[in-house]
Amino acid sequence: MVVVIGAGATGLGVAWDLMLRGVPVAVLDQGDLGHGTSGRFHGLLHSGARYVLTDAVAARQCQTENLRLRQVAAPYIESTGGLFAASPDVSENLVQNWLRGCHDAKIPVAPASPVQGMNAQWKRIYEVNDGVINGYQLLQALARGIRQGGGQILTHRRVVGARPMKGKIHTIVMEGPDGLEEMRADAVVNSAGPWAGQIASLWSDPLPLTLSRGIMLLFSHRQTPKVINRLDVPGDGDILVPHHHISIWGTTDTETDSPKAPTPSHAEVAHLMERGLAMFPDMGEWRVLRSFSGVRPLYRAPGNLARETRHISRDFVVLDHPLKGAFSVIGGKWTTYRLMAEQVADRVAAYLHYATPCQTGAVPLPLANAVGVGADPLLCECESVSKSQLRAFEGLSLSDLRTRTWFGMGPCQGTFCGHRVMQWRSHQIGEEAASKELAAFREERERGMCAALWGDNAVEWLLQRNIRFQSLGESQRADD
Amino acid sequence: MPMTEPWIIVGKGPAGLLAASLLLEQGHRVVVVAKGQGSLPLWSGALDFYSWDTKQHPVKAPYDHADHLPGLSLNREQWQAGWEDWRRILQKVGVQTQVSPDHENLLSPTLSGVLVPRYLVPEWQYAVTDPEPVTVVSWEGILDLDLHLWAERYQQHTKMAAKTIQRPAPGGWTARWTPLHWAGYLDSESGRRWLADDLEAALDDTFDQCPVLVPQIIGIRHTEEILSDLRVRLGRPVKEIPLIAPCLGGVRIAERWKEYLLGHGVRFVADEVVGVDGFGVQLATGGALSGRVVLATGGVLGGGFRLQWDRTVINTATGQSIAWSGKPEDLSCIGVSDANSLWGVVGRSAGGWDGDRHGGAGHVLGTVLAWVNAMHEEVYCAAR
Repeated sequence: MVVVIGAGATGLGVAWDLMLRGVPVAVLDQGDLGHGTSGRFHGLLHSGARYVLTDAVAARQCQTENLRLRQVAAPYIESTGGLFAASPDVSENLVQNWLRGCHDAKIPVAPASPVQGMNAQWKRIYEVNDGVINGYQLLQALARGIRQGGGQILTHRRVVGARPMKGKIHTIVMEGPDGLEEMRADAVVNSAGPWAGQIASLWSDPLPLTLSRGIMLLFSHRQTPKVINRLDVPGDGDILVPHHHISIWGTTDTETDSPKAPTPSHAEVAHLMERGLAMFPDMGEWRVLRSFSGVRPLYRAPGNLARETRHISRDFVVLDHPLKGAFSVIGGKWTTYRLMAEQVADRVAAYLHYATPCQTGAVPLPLANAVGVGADPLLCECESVSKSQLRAFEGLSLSDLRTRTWFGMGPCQGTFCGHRVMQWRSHQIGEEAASKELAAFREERERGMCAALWGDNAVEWLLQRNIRFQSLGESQRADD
Repeated sequence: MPMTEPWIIVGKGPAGLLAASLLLEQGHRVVVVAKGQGSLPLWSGALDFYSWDTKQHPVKAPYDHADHLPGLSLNREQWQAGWEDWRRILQKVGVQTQVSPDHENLLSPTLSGVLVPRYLVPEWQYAVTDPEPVTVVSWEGILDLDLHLWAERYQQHTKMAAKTIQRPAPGGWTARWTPLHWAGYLDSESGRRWLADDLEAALDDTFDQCPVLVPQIIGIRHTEEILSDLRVRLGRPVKEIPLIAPCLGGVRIAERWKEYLLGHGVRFVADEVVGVDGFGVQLATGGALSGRVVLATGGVLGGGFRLQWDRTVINTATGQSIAWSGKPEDLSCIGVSDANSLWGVVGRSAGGWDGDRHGGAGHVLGTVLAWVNAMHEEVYCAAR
């Protein structure tokens, strides 16, 4: 039995791969699926063109995996296409190098016309095969596939110990809702992302892990039909990604020492907006919904003395440990999750003497369960979430329900639906526990809204507080 | 001949309508210019004076907290006179209100089952000085009111019994009904008949006399008649618990108040004010109105102030900057700080008070009274 620590894209990808090879797996995560880096995504399915100037290996990997994911994860990928646009400040030399780099990495590129809203002075525009990954749905599809194949996924379980026997990994100890539990493990995969360092310390072998924080701004409406990239050496605020009826603008890159994704600061948000206004002059008028950050677990290769995390490769690495059977994987990106998982699974399968090859390049991910939009009333009107949809996820907390059903993620950010979902939860867990879940949900929503407090979003935040305190009688006191 | 320059009120939320009504009573010509709908449809219709103190504890007697009331230059008599004015205006408009005889707060339940302090409460809404046992009836499809949770909270907080009765929706109901749909149905003859029959059937085997509480869906036009008829038929008072989005209490008041003002010669202009000076206002559509200006634009929440991404705040009517510390918790209190003699500012836009934390109507009244006092000569020298 292989224990995989971390239910993000990497961990779930590894478990899916191993399951298809016939290896029994159990995935553990301290939170819910994708509550770490994978859930704080920009959502870009890279063509690789972003990296042709600085990281040829990453560029090629991205293009190959881009095509592969369109085969096996088609329902969770949107083929929007992407544009790269160069500002007038960018030298023609750089543009030519970029075109050459795309050619070398086998990335299809063609001249293109601008989309509405882009700075009209940016006239050198090219189209590539960028796409959009629906991260939450893809993670849920992986989870479904793993379970269908007999694998286990245990969320809200924090790994606190790894016990060896005769130099090999033997038992994993975890803290769950019912206290300490133990699980027998013949191998363990540390795919805990930003927490990989903490996990590796359980078997006393530090990791060359560098953490980098990136912030993003979420706007209402699909502001552009395609992904829009800045054609230049990679910098901050370079990419706008459309997702259904929202747009995500990002990102930044600052070294950090904490795995927890902090609330973006005003200075960071203002910096990101300035970068955005150069590309989209009307960005100041767009309806911002919130700002959030994610923490990248980067691999700093030996000899890499780069001072800025931006210059650390997005490449990934699979590491052995003196404790036999323990493997750590760090680095990488969403676009290459499948490839990362394949390399980890190859190592684990070899260690356990399983000869079956990787099948994730050929076997498609399971489809979503048909959750019909029934005639039953909508609890969340912004995102059309009905009671029957919630019932499919009975037992999950308000915060976890949010990422599964998207309730509370629309323009009202839970103002008019938070109490309704809380009422539904109270029938399962009682009033006191449900009220605590609502308070936690409110706090999390507020943090993101306050990080981008302008325009209609500022109005929405004030309205939310007014409704909560005046109409719903929610307590403002910390002691309640 | 004395000047009979009209007054231009910018904004039709409670502050704008109150200012307009007071001016109307003094014989002035009034024009109300507003871009939006005003905040009333989001409001239950109950008026807060001072409901939560600085530690967020519920307040029994607002006048005991005189130090913290908005409008520090007003004394108790002025406040009481002001509240009487507002009551009287609401009565003229067609809305009867309940008030505690001791000038203390009443208690009224929210849709969560929590009793909150309110100062002036419309007659249709349930409000008491002391909690008592109640019976709550609701119908399938009214999502904001969860009877089980409501009763649990009510009983926990008040130690009084709350009996609940869940009833099926009427024929013709669909899952898309909002409170407005319910109100339309219950304002009709057949809806009214269904309601009376259904409540009678629901309460058939209960023998107590405690009040019957229902969600706030009892029509828009005929609310008082319906509730009064039900009281006679059932032998016990029937009152509403306010819901949210849309709040029928606020919708009723908004409709009746506007109708009253229109009927008395107040002109309503649907437009956006983009400039203000000593002579009047400039409109987004290019026109202009001359007169003496009062801004009741609702602060940030009402759209009177607009936050830019670089954290500057602009008064959307005048184009001037508003000072802001940058802290989210100060947003409800920012306002036009300088006493500007060219135009008055009332309501949220006057700033200085967090209505969402303490009580919004108190702030509205305090700022309107302060403006009336400052403009005394101009307001009270009516020219007919």
